[in-house]
Amino acid sequence: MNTANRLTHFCLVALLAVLSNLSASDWKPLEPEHLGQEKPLVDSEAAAEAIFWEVRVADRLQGGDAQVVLSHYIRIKIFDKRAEEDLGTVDIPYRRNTRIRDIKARTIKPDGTIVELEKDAIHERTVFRFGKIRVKSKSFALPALEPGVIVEYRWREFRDDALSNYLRLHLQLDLPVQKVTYYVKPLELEGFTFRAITFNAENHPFTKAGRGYYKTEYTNMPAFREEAFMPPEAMVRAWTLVYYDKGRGEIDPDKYWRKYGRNRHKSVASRMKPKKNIQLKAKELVQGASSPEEKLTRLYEFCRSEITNVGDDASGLTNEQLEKIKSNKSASDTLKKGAGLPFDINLLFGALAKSAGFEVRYAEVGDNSDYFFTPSLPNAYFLASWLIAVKVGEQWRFFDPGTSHLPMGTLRWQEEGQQALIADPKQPVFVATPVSPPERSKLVRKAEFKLDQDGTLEGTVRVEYKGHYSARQRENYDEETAEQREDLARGEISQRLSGIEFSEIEVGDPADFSKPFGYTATIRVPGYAQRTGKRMFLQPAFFHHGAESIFPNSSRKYDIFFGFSWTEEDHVTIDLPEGYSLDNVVSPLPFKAGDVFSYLPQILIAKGGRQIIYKRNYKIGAVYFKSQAYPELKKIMDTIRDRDAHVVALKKNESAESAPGASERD
Amino acid sequence: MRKASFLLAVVLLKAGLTFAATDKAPAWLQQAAEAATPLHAVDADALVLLHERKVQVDRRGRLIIEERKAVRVLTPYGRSHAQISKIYNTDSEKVVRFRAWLLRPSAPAKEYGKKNVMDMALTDNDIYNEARIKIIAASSDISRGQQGVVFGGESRTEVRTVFSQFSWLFQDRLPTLTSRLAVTLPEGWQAQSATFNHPAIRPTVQANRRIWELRDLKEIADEPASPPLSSLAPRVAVSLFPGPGSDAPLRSFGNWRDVSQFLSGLADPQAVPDDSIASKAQELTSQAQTQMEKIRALGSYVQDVNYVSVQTGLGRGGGYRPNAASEVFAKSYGDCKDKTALTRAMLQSVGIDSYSVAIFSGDPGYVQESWPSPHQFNHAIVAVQVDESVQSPAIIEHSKLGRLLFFDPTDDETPVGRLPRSHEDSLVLVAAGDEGELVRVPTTTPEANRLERRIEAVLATDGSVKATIEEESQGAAAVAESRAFKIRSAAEYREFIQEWVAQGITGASVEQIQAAPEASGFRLKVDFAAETYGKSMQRLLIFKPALVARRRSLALIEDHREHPVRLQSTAFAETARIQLPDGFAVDEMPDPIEMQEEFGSYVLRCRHEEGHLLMERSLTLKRSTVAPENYSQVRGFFLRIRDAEQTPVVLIRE
Repeated sequence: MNTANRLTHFCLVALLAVLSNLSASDWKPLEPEHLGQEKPLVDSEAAAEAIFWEVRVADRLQGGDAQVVLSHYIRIKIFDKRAEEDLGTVDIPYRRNTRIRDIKARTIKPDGTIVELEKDAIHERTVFRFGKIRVKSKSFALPALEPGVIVEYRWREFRDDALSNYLRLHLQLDLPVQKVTYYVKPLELEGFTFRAITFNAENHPFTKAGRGYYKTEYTNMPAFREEAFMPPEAMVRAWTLVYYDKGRGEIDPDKYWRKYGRNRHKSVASRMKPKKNIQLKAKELVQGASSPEEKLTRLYEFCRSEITNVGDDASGLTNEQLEKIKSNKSASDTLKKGAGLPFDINLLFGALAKSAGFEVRYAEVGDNSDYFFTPSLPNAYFLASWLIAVKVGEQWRFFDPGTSHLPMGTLRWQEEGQQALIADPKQPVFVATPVSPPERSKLVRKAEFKLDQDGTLEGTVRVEYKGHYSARQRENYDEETAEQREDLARGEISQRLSGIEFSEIEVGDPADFSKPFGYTATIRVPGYAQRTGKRMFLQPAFFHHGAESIFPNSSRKYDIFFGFSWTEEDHVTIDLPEGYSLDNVVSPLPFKAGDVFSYLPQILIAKGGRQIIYKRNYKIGAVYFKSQAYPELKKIMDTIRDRDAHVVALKKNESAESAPGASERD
Repeated sequence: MRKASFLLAVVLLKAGLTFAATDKAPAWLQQAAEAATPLHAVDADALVLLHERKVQVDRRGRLIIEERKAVRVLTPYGRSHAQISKIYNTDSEKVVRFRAWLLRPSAPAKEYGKKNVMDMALTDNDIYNEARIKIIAASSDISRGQQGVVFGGESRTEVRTVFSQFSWLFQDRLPTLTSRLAVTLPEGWQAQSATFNHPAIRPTVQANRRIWELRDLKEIADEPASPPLSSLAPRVAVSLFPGPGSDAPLRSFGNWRDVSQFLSGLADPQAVPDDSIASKAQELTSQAQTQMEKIRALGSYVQDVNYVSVQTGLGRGGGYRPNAASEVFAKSYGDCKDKTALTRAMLQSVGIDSYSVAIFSGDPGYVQESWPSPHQFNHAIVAVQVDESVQSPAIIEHSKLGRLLFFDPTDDETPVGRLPRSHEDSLVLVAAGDEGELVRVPTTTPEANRLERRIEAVLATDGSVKATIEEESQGAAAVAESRAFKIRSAAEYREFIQEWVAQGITGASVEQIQAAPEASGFRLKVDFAAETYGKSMQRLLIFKPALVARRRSLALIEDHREHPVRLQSTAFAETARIQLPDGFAVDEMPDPIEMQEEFGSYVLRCRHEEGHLLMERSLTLKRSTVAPENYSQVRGFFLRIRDAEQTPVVLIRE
């Protein structure tokens, strides 16, 4: 580089630095009404409210490499001291390939005085480092925070090797926002169109905002707060998905899915092709099988039990073993290695079924735990899971042996009751996946107890989960240590019954799919029955004693989503103590609401009045309720809870008072 | 499970476990792995075979710390103990070696090195803290059935610090076979030690080396309401004293006055008011008539200053040096020592003297007089010199400094004039230069932490109820109530109260709430109704007179106890007046109960009066530590309360 060039270069660098500096200190003008604002506008009870929240998203190529730069800027008015704890410190975590720069923050007091965040008050720390994984954070505390002030801060986030393709832009924060603005500057890519879809808010299309940016704006966005049993966040929180898409103009869903389904078939077919080893294995496995069902069952069980699923938390593999396993190139490879990822295992099943003479297709389906997919939304982004479709007779059936805990012919609850796209070289089709009836997902609880004269209950309990209930519980348990599993199981009972004593507890192995999952425990509950001078009152519904209300709140905002329907079966026997006899026992009333709720409690007397048998069958046959139905739903749940709390009275026999040693004579 | 581990132990006791020969694992680990499992450890999840720290001190006071730990996994649960960790600070410590090995009976030893190390911030709520932790964990490499495997690791850390003191915790909760601290000193240097939670441990001396060692330590059970581990596990603390003429840049502490001078030297210069502080202090106290009003005005202001922690320069005393009060005031945030400095500066501006106070937060029994050291503390509060006009349960009479009012400016719920309950009865150091000394923070009476509740209810024939609850709380009880109120919006608080009432009475619906934090405590009034409070059983109508739960309860489930039970000072009293439905007579009521124990008392009385059921219950607990031998007494006390409060009233239709 010659001197003149060096000088030009230096000047350019200096100019850029100055411009960068100028832009970095360039705060938006303050509105006087915001300084004096005393009450929030969006939510009258909010402790703080964002006056605006602005994010600029710019895709760019840096020397041929993709990079997305997100410039965040938020201005917040503090109204109440309780906001200080949440807003007092700001943490900006980031991972590899991301850099955080140009952090600026300041506090503006009601009189207009400004306290700037000093540069040395920004702290960078490595929060976590393990091998190549590194999570860093830039943190700072906002100065001079108190009710009445306005705080604002901003930073730039550089994500390397990334574009704003399928980027979720949130439109709600955990505090209300008066105005949310996104500016997006996509790359001009030949053949691609930049698109946006907005969910759970009225669509405000992006409009040109100059310098290559497109802008969208939303006002008076309430704070987002989670609720128990709400649908997935993406179904209730306002957000916009931005992405690049091939082609221009309106997308016809039918055409889109036809094309997508053909392409998927093309890319997967070769990996699912039955090679010699697969043909031989299929032949061996189905030999002697008399029906299509039997053939498929054998193939399915082989994939589930003989192929190690390395993607499963409960694979039991050590880290050393996991490191050696790579994803497979084809179904044939999976068979050779005897191990594979869930996707590999599904393809192997497909290849085996094909070899066994079935018509087989690769299929994709949405994930109900993230978003409720609909084909009217022409975007494969929402098809998050893969299945194998096999034609049996005239019907397509779906299989997912790559999910270890699923018995033959069943799907995860996340994949049920929605349209699955069956890939095909000519005519891909959507076929509805089946929905499990409530009877398949069962919670079975049994207990055998003896009640003492002092009200102590002692005996054994067995809890067993089936179907989706089992899958959910296995997932809850399988990442825990054995000790934590026991604690979890203990907690399920002890959180309802203070003073419970466990002498034994045994939790099943969540990774052992050959056995039902659940636990057994031997317990003692002092003071379970309430004694008065002449009576003892006993709640036979042991498994509901002390159970908390699942809907304690008087109102809610979002719909109610249980994920899957289920049934509960309780069977409790209680041997009664000497010296007491039952006093006019009646069963709690049953309850039924169409096919949605069914509650059938029953109290039977056995052993000549010396034993109570309590049976309870409960069914919830729907998974989704609109929020408007909440008061009614709460009432039903409260009614059932109240009937579960039903007690029977035991009368003290007159002779019992003169025979204090009655229990010792047993 | 117990059976399995017992069998395993027997096998180990008889034969030991033979590990695959390997030259990967060091000899010390292979030797440690040969040790048999003692009988007392058979039910434990894991056994620490060896835990040792060797500290090599050079003439400049630089330390080389080598640590070794070997753990045998005894049950599937014990796999989580197959890990080693090393806490360090980036300011003055460098971990130069950190590695581990897993010895398995029928496989070669696995070595863990750099790529297996997790390195993370020790705390996640500070915006910056030099304290970090390195961990190597092997639990995922031990299969469910692989019990008896031995995991061991070692670290080497170079330390350059101004401090000449350290301590050694001989065990965590796990049983431990051998635990030792070895310190090698330069010629002429001296070391003094103090022992905590154990009879005095005398070091063995070998030339310049001193070794403190304990063997065969039993597991420390984790029990509810027990003293924390820091008051149970044996610990030794060592102070080094350089030889004559040493130029080691170390700070030594021979007595508490030394510690006081050190802390005052760091804190006092930072607690000086500037003009802006003085002006603010004058403004805040302009209406104050008394000394207490001034203190309250300033203390409340600093309590509102946001708590933000930035910890730097830890090896050079940074953990004890506050930022300048002027800086804290300008930024309006800081940690405990910063807020202490600001409080003191403001008090000074209005002519009130005060001192920085070092305290250990979280375990009132932690600080021991026998080891003068700033390392015994983890928190800073303020002692304000007050005149006779100030009356408060947080005042002591200091032999040299007169009446001192303690105040914690980081706790924004505990009003000025009171102390957080967790601080009560702690030994604290008033950092007052030459006059500083250890003193004990006063305790409060149960009455000072009283929650009083009155309930008026109307029970209908169909079992429905309408009720009004009125509560007044003081002291620690008010702090808890006040916090629950302040952190929630009105709607959130309403739901919070709704949940509390509904958990006791199915379907209860809160109709109205009035809540008010007051200077003297907290007031709450709740109106609610429930359709299904009383249970109809043909001619009977039964209900529990204790409509809603006490705010806190203690469940002592186990019938055996190893460690004392610590009780907090508290008082609760409730009177309920429940109007009974027409046409019903009282058939049964809970029997009256009156219990009077050394640690507390409980009363429950019910009576029927003019169509009403009147219930009184009260629980008073004194701040006390009940010895394990008296456990059955305290357990029986709480079990009887639980049973009594479950006992229903039985009405019979006339």
